[in-house]
Amino acid sequence: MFQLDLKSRTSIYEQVVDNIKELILAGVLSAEEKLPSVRELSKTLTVNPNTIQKAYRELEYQGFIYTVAGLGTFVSKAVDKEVDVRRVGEVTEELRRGIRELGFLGLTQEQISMLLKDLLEERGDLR
Amino acid sequence: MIKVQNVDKIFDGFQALHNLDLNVKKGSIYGLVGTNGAGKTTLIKHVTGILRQDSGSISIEDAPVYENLKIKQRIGYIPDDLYFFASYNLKESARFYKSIYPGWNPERYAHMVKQFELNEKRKLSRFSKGMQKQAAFILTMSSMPDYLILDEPIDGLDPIIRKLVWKYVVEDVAEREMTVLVSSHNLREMEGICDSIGILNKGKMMIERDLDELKSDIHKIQVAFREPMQDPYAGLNVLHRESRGTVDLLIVRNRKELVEKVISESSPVVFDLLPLSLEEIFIYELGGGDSEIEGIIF
Amino acid sequence: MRSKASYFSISMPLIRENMRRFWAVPVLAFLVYFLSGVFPILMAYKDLASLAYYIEMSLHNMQPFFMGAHLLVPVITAVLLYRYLQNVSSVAVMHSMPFTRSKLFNSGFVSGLILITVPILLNGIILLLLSKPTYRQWGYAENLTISTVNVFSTGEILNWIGTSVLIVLVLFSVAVFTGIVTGNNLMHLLTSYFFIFLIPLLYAVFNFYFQEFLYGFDLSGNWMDICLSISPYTGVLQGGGYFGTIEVLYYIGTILIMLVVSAILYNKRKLERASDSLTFGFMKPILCYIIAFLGMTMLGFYFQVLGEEKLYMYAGFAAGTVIFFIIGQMIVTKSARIFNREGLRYFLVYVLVAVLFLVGLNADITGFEKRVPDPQKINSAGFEAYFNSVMWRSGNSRGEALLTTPENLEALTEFHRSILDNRERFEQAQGNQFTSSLQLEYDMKGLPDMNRRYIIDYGFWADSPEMKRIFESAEYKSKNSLYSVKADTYTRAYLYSEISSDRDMEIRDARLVEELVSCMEKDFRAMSYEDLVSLRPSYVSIEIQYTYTEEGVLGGTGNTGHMSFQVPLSGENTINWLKAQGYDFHLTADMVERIDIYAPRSEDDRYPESVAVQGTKDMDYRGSLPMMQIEDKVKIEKILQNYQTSSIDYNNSYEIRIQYKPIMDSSGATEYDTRSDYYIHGYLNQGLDFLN
Repeated sequence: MFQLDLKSRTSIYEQVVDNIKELILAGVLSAEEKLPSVRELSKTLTVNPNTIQKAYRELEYQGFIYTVAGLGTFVSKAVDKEVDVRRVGEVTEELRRGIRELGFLGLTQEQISMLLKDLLEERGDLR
Repeated sequence: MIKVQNVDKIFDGFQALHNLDLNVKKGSIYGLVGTNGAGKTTLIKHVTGILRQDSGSISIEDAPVYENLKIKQRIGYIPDDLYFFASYNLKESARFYKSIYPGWNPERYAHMVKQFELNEKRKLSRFSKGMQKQAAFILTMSSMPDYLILDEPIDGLDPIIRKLVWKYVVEDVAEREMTVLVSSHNLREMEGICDSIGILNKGKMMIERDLDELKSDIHKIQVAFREPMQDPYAGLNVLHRESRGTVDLLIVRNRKELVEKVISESSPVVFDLLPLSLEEIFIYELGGGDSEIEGIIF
Repeated sequence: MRSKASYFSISMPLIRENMRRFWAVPVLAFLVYFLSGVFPILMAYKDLASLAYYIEMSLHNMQPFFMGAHLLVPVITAVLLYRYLQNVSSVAVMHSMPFTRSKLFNSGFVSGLILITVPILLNGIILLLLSKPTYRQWGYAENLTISTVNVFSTGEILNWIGTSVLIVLVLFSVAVFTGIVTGNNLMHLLTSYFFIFLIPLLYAVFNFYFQEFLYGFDLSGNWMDICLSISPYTGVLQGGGYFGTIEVLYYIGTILIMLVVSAILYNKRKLERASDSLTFGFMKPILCYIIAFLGMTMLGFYFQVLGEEKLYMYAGFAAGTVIFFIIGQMIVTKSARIFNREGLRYFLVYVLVAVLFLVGLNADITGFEKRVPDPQKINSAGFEAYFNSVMWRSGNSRGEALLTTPENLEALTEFHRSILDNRERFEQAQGNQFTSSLQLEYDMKGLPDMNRRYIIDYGFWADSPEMKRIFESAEYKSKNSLYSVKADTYTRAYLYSEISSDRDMEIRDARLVEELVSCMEKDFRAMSYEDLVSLRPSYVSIEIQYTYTEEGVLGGTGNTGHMSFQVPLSGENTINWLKAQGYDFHLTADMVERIDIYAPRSEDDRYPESVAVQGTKDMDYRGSLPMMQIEDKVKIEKILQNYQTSSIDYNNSYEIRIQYKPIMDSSGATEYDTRSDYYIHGYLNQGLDFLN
């Protein structure tokens, strides 16, 4: 499904969470689609099942997936997703830092603004 | 689960294990790391029921391991120094394992032999060390252990085989909730596979934690401010600090959010926040002085 | 809680694997037994009698291949079976497997039992199938009835199986024990053989100490038998291939004790000690002390040989203690660094015990030396001395009969006491006196037997009033009667005399022999003590052959027995009877050509030419020139009336050589006469004054 970068500083757990989120947001995994079980995914990736379990729990906590006992884990309907305020704050902070960094690198405010617009356009799927 | 409580072991005047506690939850992959001579092998030999502790208790599923046949039948142990019956080949060894481990799975054995491409009829003494490890692995895994204890298992194996080994391990952990206790110096690999870590030093358990929690608790940061700041790190648990020019390099024992909050209050021009790798945590915790840390972690 | 059953549990898989791994050992053992035992029998099966002696030796385990196999197989098997304990990796793997310690130990032991006994049992079965009567004959002359014994009977084979199995089991159980207490294969092997032979060795060593320090300690007798039976391996030597009931029980006891102790120690063994010399702390000083003790003994007795003074021996003890203690420590600690406080402590403990031991022996704290039994507490007593051949001996009896009457027991204990009173006389005896060992045996009522052995000189023996009482007592005469052999018939009498050249003087008439015996008996009854202890030459030697019945043995009639008899010059009845039969063995002066007299050693300076040409003065051979040659018949007759067959005080006695012409037989010439001159040797112990 996706590759893990074992050399990366990011922990595997984070990578799994991020990757699945990516796939969901990119629409590769559609709503209500059944995800591989913890067992299956851990075997496929050769990753500690506890790690996968934790990742799934986090994704469920963030509202990206839900579990039905006995049936499996499924992608949430986009409309059911609640806005995670805390997480929005975290990502905003990241954005803030990113913009500052770009500033250090010598981009003008206008250039940064242009960049943001381009990025947004990339995500045509956003409402 | 595996529970070691308050264990002491003295070898002829030398205290090898000191008031040691260890906890391995069921279905987890626990990495036991430590310097050479820290007592990893000694501890493992206690958990596998070979050695008898001087005091304290060692139990699996709340039953003591020592002389406990029922538990030992469900333990698979691959030691650092392998031993096979002299002049035996893999097939004969398998026959012996089959007769003493009730969980023996012949289909898995056959499958693994094929997959590892080992010659069943060849004397094990003629195998290379790496192939011997593979043979030991096949024999152990084919007995379908509920508890897998590995002492430096993957040293000497090529990357392809290593991947294969972990694949089997992960499969059993996933499918049967097998509990794994693995000791190794290859911290990078440990990092990728373990969910819990125990750091041993001089016979004492220094740190025992969930790996992710261990990593989330400690960070290294590179910070630079436009002007020198008055105590910009107040509120942080600074473990180590050094300066290279205007850039400060620190190790702090705090969660990521707190660090970001505190540092960004001072509007730094450079701010890199990175988790430490297991190797770095190891070196930091056991390395001793600041001089060891410089140049290794930064 | 562990159930009783768990102490006896074994693992069939382990036993199977042991069989698979070590099958070569029983195969080799089987081949050794087969090729050296069964195979020769098969080859000679048509004429097995020719192999009778070899079969007997083999079935009595006195054949080198059997002995070698018995010695090597059990120990090697033990080493192989418990090898895994002696290596860090193997001991870890074996003990991580689902076995209890008891299971591991028991399985090894049971495997060993099977591996070492199967070759013996199989060969035994083959031998049983091949068994057929094979007789080994022994006897002195072809036309006499001889004893025969079937050496290849079922009983003999079963005995071989039983004794062999016992031997290998004892050796195996000792080797298992040493395997548990040692940590590497070399130590295991060495200590196995060390312990197998250690106890008999220690027994022998202690006996030597007792002999050295305790006056009267009897080293001869059956101490050697006991020593050899301690280990069944040497036990075959003393028992002629058979074990008595007590020995069998003792060996079985040994096996059980070794088994139990080993099992307990196995459970306690610290596995991390694999590859150490010794795995149990308590073994270190034990082994070290044993080595030190043996070394101390060795050097002590070696030094003693160098010099008579006790000082030499003590110097040897000291040197041996130090040297071998150091060696022992090095062996048990596997290092050269033994000069530390702990080593010193062990050393001082040992020295203390050794000193106490030697002091205790010297001081005779148990009162061993002075103890003389109370005659009323004695069941029976026996004695044996070797001053001259007692007047007669039977080929199948052991010396003097036992004394039981209160008078004789009293006399014997008095004699014993007088020996103790005269201890200095005996201990400071000048060399070259006619001495003999005297053994005393007391069978006590309800107390252990008492045995003593002393060296006494002839004078003391001959002058003893107590011995006179004993020898002339009714009990002595009746118990030592010639008729005590209970002969059924007398078959032959052989006469031997130096002065007759006729070698084969035989009386074959049973009636005549019976008459002869009755004369000899009369003379014996009439003999005085002085006659008995006399050193005068005997008149003639007679050997009587008879048949007797062995009591309690089926088919025990027809056994052949021999009695030899020295007829004293005072034996009138016998001498007269022989004369009536035409035999005269008197050495008269007419027969003597010349008597050479040699100077006694004490006068060597006066007669230097008398000293032996070759060799030193210490040699007994005085082979050169006599100081005197007597041809005067009167003097010759005087000498003949006085000379004795032994010197009493060699330094002062005159050795004589009587040159004579033997009695020729009726034909005037003898068949076997290859000599031109005949000599009789003798001694004059009372000086030469009587000649003048």
